[in-house]
Amino acid sequence: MSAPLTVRAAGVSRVYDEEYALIDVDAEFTPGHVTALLGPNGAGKSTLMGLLSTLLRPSEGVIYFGETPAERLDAAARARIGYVGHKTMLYGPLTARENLQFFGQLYGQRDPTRVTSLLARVGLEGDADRPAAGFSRGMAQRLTLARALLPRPDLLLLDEPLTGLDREGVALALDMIRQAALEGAAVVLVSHDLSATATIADRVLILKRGRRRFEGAVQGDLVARYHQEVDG
Amino acid sequence: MSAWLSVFWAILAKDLRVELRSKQTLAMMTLFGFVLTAILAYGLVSDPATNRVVYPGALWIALLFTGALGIGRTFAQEAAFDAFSALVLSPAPREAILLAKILGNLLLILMVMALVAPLIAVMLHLNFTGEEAGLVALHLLLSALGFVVVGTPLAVMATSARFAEVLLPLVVFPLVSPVLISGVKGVGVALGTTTGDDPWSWIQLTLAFDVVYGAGGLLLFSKMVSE
Repeated sequence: MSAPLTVRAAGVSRVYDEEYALIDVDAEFTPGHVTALLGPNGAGKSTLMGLLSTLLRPSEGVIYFGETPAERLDAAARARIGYVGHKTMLYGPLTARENLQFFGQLYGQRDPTRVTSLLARVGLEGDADRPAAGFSRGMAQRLTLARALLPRPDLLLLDEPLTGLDREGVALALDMIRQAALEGAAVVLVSHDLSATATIADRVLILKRGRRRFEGAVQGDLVARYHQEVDG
Repeated sequence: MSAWLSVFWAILAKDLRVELRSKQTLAMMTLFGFVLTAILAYGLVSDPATNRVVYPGALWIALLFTGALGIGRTFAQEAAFDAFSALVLSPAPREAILLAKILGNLLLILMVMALVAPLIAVMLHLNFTGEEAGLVALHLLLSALGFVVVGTPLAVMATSARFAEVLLPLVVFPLVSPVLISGVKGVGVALGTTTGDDPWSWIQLTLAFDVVYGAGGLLLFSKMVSE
């Protein structure tokens, strides 16, 4: 078991085509906590997720993983990040099992039961040997969540992980996210489903037009706080 | 090293499995190769001596265009659902990703050329000695290698660019021209249709390009995938 991982954004900005998507944002994501990253469209949520995942580089500022700046992360440190993005990041012609086995090999996963148990956990054991291309959006999203959780990440980045899920799927996803936090992961959750987010988030970071409006523990009604910061 | 190899084989096996199931790239390249062969054969067929002169050029036209089609689709499956981001995010060594992709592309091109090269020879009514056939095959192998070591890393860049299908050949063709010229000249020498008496010097030259381009690609790939 690796040491808990605190991730910190220090004065982070990101520019696309001379336009700022994120402006001088400071934030901290601590182990064992679920941080809801909220904001209206164009607030910079996905950009911040891209920076935290290391898929993007900040134009200004630094993302720290523990004490290590993101640009100096080695392969072992990258293995500690689990990421669900807007797309499923799966291979359509491969079956659900083959997708997880492939990513397991990339992460040096040695436990042969891990893939089977994750497939069962997300309710896909009966569809494990079907190509992912034939999955509904909800089934693909379950498999995507399983892929992100496969390496037992210390930083779990979830950008709209509830997309396409039915009520049962949402409950399952929220339960798995909660469990990951209980096991010590720092979880960052972006979702437009505020009521679902409110059930598991204990911290919140609200962005508006690329700037940080609020960061702190969730106290009281998260939805009301969000509207107060964004609409007020 | 064993972990590196395990990742390398995992990516190569995955790419081949994906391709063999979808058959998109291979079918497209083979069909294109056959069409090109028919055009070249019916358009250029002449007396055996002229056909022998034409053969190296015809072969490398087929390699260039089927190869361009193949590498253009290198990252199509990766880009379809953004699986390439998951690949880059994983702890997989960058060199293992690139080399697995290069070998996968090389195998696809060689599979197609193994059909197309003899077919062009048959349609041009050419006969080769065993040594000539061996030299042609060796030149093809090294030229195809040069083509994929240049094209594969550039295909990564092109996936995120607009008009990727147009952009990629525009960038790749000028860069691989030394490899192609060396291949055409070398086969010409091997078949006795071009002045020169040592086909091995052209093989050494192609090999040198392969090494230089390969090293450059490895150095650049890590930087390319960082964003």
